[in-house]
Amino acid sequence: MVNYINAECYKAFHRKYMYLFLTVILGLVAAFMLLLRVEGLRQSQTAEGMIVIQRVSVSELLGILAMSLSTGLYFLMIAADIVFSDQYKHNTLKNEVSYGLPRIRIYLGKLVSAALVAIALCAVLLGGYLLLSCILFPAGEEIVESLRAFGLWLLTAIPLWLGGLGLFILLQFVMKNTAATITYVMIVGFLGSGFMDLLTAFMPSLESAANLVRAISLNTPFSLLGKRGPEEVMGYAWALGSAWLGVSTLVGLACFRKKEIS
Amino acid sequence: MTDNALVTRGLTKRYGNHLAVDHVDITIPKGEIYGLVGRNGAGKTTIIRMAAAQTVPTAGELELFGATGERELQKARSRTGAMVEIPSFYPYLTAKENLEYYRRQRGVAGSHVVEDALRQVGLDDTGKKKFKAFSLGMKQRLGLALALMNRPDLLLLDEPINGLDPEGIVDFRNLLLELNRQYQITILISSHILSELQNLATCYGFIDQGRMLEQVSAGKLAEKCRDCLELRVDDAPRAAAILERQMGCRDFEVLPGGIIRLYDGLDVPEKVTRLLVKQGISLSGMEHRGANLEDYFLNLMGGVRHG
Repeated sequence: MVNYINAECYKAFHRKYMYLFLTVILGLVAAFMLLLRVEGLRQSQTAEGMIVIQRVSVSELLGILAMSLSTGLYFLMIAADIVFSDQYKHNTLKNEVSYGLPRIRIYLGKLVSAALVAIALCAVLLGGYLLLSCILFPAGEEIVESLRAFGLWLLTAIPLWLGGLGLFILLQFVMKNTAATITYVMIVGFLGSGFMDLLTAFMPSLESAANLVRAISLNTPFSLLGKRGPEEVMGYAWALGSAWLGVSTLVGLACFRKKEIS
Repeated sequence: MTDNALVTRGLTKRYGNHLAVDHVDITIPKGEIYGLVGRNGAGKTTIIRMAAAQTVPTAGELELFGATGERELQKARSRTGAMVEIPSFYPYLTAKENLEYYRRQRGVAGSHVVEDALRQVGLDDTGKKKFKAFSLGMKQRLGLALALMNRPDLLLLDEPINGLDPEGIVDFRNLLLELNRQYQITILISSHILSELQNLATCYGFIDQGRMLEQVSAGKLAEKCRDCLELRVDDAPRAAAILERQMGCRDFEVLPGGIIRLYDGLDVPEKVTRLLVKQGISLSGMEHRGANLEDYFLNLMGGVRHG
């Protein structure tokens, strides 16, 4: 397994795709920060009626980042895609199975490698975001508390991302690349609370089914985070994420076990 | 210790209603070069794909170096190298990067094996050229380099000379012969270029519509492809009966199109002619010839063999 992961990481880090992705996202982050630096001044009034102009702080930027952690469910597709590398399009899986590599090792190797690449991408992107924030903006008075809160949000998001990754790897193993992406976006996006709210507004009879779907949707804990805070949601997020990861991996292994490789 | 590299017993593969491989028994002794001969769609690739674990047999048993169970077979497959259909690699990596990826994945020790494998197939000077820019011949060579990288005991090659230029075919053939002779690597090779197989194989398996028609050693085949008298007549079955009855011929073939191949009586062609004409058979041609692998294969597919 270690050899397999080593090889996958070697391949991933030899792809321009990954560096291009990082450059584009970090470029967008930098543009966003510069825009905030130039335009991000906030007016507030003191008790004495004085108007104070303040610059956006790192604490506030961490808050913005925390609110956007659900986008990680979509970004993880890039990490999985970098690792899976269109194996069916290029017919490269045959080189692995014909050497006698157990299919279980191939499947789990891809899953673990995708998780490692996702962690590496996440670390670079979050690190870049924090670094630029610290360079361009004042820390703010509650920086320690903000960092702690962000850490808790991140701990809540990680199992949900892993659940999403498990699902996306399953889809990549059983479908063509584009179909896998579309199916994943539909499952993650359309099974979210927003879509269910819309659906039940038109069809109230589906409420109980919608509640079930909401309960198992990977998006639901993210929407609860803002209302209840990470301490309350974390247990639910870990249970849900682990269930998605476990079930999708078992289904994926069963499907891949006897799949024709051309 | 088994003396066979690959054995199949009743190997069968069904796709829906289509029986691609029908209870095929193959035995490939260690050190042999086994040529799998058959038309397109005969089941050659499916057999090789089953041996290479790319598809699961519907029924039957596969044995590699004496190993039969799923786990044992997986282990035994690390002693094989496979090249099935067009070699496939990551298009955005170079030849060296592609092999390095598989070397790490397979846990083959020493990065020099990549350079050695590339040198062996003449791809050591491709530098930073990506796989997507390779010609078909270069892709075939890289496929072979991958198959050879782990020093296999058995090579599974499906149509490996497709896309090679004449010089490449000769180099490829010489390389396979060298691997077989120098390292005793057993080779299972399928090809529709029968003249090439004839230059390589030490035994043959003829397959048609998923069924194994015949397995024969190269020596036996040469004997079967011996000289014959080819007659073109208007009524071949009757002519054959006359030859059998009146001349005592036992060894002959009746082929479509009024052709009879006579392996007896080669030294008395005038006697054959006289007899047939006397019996009212119209003889439009007579030729002394020897068969090659192609003829033998075609006869096997369509001819009726006696004797």
